Amino acid sequence: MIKKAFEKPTFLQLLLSVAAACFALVAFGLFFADAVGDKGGDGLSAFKIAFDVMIDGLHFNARAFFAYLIPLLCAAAVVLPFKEKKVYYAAAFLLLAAGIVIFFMKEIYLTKYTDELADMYRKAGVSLAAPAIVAGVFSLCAAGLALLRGLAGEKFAVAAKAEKSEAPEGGEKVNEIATDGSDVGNGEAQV
Amino acid sequence: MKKRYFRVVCAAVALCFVLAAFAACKTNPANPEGLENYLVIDESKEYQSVTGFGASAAWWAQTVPQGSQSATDLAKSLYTDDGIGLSIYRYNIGGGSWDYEAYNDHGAGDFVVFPEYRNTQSAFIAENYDKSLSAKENFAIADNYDFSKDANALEFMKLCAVQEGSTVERIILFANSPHYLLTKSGKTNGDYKYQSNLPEENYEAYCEYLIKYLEYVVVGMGLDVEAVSAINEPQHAWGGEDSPQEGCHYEPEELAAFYDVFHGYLSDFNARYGTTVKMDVFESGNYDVYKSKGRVMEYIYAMSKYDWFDEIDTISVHSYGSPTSVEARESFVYMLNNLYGDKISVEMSEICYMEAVLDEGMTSALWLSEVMNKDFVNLGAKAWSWWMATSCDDYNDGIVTWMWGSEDGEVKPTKRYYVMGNYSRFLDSGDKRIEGYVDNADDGVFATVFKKGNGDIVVVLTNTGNKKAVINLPDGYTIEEAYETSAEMDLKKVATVNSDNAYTASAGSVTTLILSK
Repeated sequence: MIKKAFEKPTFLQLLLSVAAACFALVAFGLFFADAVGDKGGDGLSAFKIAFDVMIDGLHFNARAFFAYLIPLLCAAAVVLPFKEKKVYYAAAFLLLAAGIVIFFMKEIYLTKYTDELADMYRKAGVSLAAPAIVAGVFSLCAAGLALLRGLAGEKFAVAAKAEKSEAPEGGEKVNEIATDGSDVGNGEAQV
Repeated sequence: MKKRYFRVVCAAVALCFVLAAFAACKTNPANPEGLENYLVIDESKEYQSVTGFGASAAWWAQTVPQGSQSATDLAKSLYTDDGIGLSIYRYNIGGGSWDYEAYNDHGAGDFVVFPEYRNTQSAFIAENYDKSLSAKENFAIADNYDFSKDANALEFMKLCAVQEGSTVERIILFANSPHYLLTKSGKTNGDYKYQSNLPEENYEAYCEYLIKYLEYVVVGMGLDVEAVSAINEPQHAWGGEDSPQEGCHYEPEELAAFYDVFHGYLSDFNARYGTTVKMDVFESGNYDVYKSKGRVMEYIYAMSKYDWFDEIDTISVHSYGSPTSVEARESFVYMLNNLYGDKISVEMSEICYMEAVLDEGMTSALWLSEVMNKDFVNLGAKAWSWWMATSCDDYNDGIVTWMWGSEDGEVKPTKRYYVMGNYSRFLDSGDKRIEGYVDNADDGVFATVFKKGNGDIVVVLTNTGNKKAVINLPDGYTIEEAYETSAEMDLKKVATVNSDNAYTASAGSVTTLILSK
């Protein structure tokens, strides 16, 4: 039963979508966990880096904000059933970018200081915090899954189209076309 | 049937493994039996030496009538071993806000009964200010000072220092703001928040002001002064309509530049009088390295660019901001060590319980003990000082309450006083903090452990929980004495039931255990 379910492209798509969305949501959730810290133990969340209350008022750090907001938006995008596969490719690209930016959160944090002070803080031991590393990795994972989601959608579309056009001649053709057209011949090889 | 028995046996074996694994988690080399609430003491690991306990005389000491019963009672309760034996006296060099009644009716909040007492007397005679002279020249003229204006505070300091059985070892003169005639705003706080209120052209005049006070106390009164603290919590706003007290904001480079000038003045003073008075730097308002308004590392870094920084071996910080955070303390120490190695140590020079609800009981006292524990253990503080020694029974900023200005008002200790005594009365300068903690501790149970010069171990044991905790002592140690502060006890000697080499700490208590080997 389960095996059959996996063989259905729609289930695979759903699985990929949910997994990608979960990774992306966790990455976004870590917006409220430490993004920079040190071995001593304290740290500062990405949220506070994005919305920094400095002496002369509230400062908005767009890089910190969007690096974490993108996974949230992409999580919504990948769970919606778009016919256009490019949506998933775009989401994958954005998640990839977000993941890379998250890995630079230490430098993003230090941009509020002069070069001299930023260098002092580097020497003092400010580093990328573990939650930010996890967020970056999860964002990249979500990117990979979104990419697969797009690819799975493409294969499904091809298979569905073939099934529709050749249905009167027999359902077995589906597998033939799919096998001929790509490495997707059955459920086990779809991903 | 056999299959069923087999499953039961398997389940039992699995359960045993789980339980054994759980028990194993509770054992470690320091606590091989995995005992609950096991007091670990490792004398081979020594940390910082204690350099004292104190409180400040800001605001209230200027209202202590000279020769009064109040003066005698306050001095005895704070600075003798009949009281809690504090050793650091922090005298406040006022900015002169009394002259223009700056804080009489605003800013301090409804909970402060006498906001006018936040005004400070200054020895500088403002009427003598000659506009034809520079500020430096005005503040350098000895005749422009009348120290009788602050006689109450000065005489009370002397009483504490010279009374029979005095425990005063260190006198620190500290200022919250330069004199108002030297500031940009003409007041002892800024016109607006974060206004750097001391103009560079008045650095020397402010130094003259501080040196005149120092000279009076050292030469005129014959008291030994250890340090002068010219700047207080420089990262704070100290300006605007709601400023409730004296204060002056400095940017890091301004602070360092001022200290550079002051260092020269202090060197000259020391050369002139053969003294070794130091600069106390810099009473940071907190030790938060990640909060934008913390900036503690930036101030230290600014100072490190000057040659005189080589002479600085101690940074004074306040525990406001993150008073119960282990992480904030450890990050600060970590960064300090990364940048300056072990050259710089830390003293905690001010904290108070800043809750608007008045508390003179164990709630704030247990909080105080937690802050002290973390400051000693995680911050590595050598000295520890409370903010004001007395309050007017209107706020949580004192350790005793006393009606300011009264001739014979009752000196009424809060539980904070007794808990601070759990540390200060049993520890002397030079005693070392050693490795010690409560392993497998109940929630809210912790210990701070010190070793005295005679080899005795002083354990300050805190149980913030609402049930008693049986503390298992390590082999080889015997409780000689125990002093408990709790809802029922005021730093009172209690029986030391030690038959099972254990001590039962009351719920919501702080106890000092004197152990011998």
